[in-house]
Amino acid sequence: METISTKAKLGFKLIKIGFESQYIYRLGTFFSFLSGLLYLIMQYFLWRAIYHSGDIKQYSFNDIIFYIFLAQIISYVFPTDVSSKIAFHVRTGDIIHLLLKPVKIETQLFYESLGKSAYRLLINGGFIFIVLLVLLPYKLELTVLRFFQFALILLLSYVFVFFFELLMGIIAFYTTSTWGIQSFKYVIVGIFSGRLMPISLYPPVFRKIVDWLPFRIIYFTPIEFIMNKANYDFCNVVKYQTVSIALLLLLYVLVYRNALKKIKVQGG
Amino acid sequence: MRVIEVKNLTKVYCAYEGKSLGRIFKRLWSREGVKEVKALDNVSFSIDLGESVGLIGVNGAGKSTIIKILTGILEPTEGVVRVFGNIPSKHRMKNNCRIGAVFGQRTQLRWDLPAYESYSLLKEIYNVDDKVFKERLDYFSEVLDIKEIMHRPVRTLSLGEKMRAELCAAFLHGPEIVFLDEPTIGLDVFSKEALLHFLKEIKKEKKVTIILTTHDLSDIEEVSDRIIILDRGKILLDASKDEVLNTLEVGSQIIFTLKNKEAVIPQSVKSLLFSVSKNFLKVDNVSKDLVPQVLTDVFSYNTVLGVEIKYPDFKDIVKQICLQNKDRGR
Repeated sequence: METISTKAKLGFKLIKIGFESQYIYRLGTFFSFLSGLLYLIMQYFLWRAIYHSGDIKQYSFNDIIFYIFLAQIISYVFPTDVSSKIAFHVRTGDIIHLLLKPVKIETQLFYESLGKSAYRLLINGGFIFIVLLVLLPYKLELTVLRFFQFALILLLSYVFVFFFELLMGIIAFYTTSTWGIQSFKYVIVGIFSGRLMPISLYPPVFRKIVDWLPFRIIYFTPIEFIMNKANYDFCNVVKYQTVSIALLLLLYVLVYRNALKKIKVQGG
Repeated sequence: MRVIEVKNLTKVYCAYEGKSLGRIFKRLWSREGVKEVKALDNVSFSIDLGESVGLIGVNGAGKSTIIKILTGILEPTEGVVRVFGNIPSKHRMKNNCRIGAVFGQRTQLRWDLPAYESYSLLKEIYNVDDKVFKERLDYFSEVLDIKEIMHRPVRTLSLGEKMRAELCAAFLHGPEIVFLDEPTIGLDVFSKEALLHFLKEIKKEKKVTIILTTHDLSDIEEVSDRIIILDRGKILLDASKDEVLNTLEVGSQIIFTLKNKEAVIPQSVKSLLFSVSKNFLKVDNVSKDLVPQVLTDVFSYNTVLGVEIKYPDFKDIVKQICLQNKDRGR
């Protein structure tokens, strides 16, 4: 029991530190919200122009705007800065301090990310949600059960993104700099996850490629699920996500073990 | 109690020659152009609890590699390493509970937050009892004079203040071994003094093993009881500080200020290392028993206005040991 309470205390402390480390940069939060809002305004006019030239079968105009707003809110939640944080620690050599703690590096980063995510969801996500409520008359048919199912799917997506970020981050153990990897990550996530638009709008051949990859569980699957767009079986979605996470975790563990053998702490 | 045991430790790094794209691709299947560099070569030593050891050596001597192997970050190529009886690279997590570290150019404090937040995080990470944590923090913050500054964001602290805060962080969980890798680098006199004073206070209790590496030998002279001198991955000397000061014969330097324009060099000085500049005669490396004779002879052949005798200090002795070894290596 003592171990559980000790772990819980540590987890809570790390979450608090993550939250505080975002809170102190309030001006940054404001600009992040502003850039998100400008992106959404741009998307709004872009899609309006598209719908002027003709309707899209699967999605009404309101559907697509709701999808894009929700993807933006979810993007605030995901721990997308973990890989750059690891790369920064590798570059400065501070990684040695993370490795010298009696707590796994993944645990330290995970809880801290939860704190940051909570802050961004509350502040950035909250404001975008208010804008969405004011501007878009969208009726979402949502039961309590479906909401909790969506929350679980989103949590698993979060874990998937976290391990994907870890994997991208530890490449810095080999390359020191990850700017190339970061660009690659943005393209992969942008195209294959449904971050920019629903994957179902892709041409059939491209859609097949996307279906083979697990990245759609990041944005597309949870948003489609809550919008009730496809007949998703909740259990199947969770199974697919769990297997994807397990495979990613396995790959991460293999790469991490190898990376530790090759580690060179910068500056002596 | 023995806390560190190192036997025949060798660490080899692979260095790559050539950075052309062709070479980089070729390395995927061939080991051509891969050069092996021995960072540590058959090193053996052991350290007991409460000892305070200074690791000395020029850049690339192998000091940091030893620390990384002892902390389990790096694996040895050959040899046996045990810390608290465990193999560090295999039992890193277990050993980490009992280890603290300060690396001069790196930080474990959260940059954006006050140091106090990092301390309370360390309390949870190492599961330190509330009462013990408060007592330690009160004592350390008093000795290190960080009572006020630990409530300011770390990014607003000066280098000296930051290092004092770092040192506090390294000792808060009551570690049995603390690695201090260049902790005084770039510090002003007052911060350095505060740091060394803190280490001396900690040492008194004999409950912590301190392993200190620094380029500033005066730090080691003040803090360490034992000295390990490394050069190109090998141990040149492993002895107590008193042994180094007493048994190693390093001569004094005598500087004469002469009235006569042309210095007359007596026979006893000719056999020694000497130099003449304007009306100064400088004689180096004069052993204890030769000092009276050199003084008498120079006085009898010259009109001496002043004499300055510089006895070798710790720094000179260590420098001499390193230089002697360098000459032997040539």
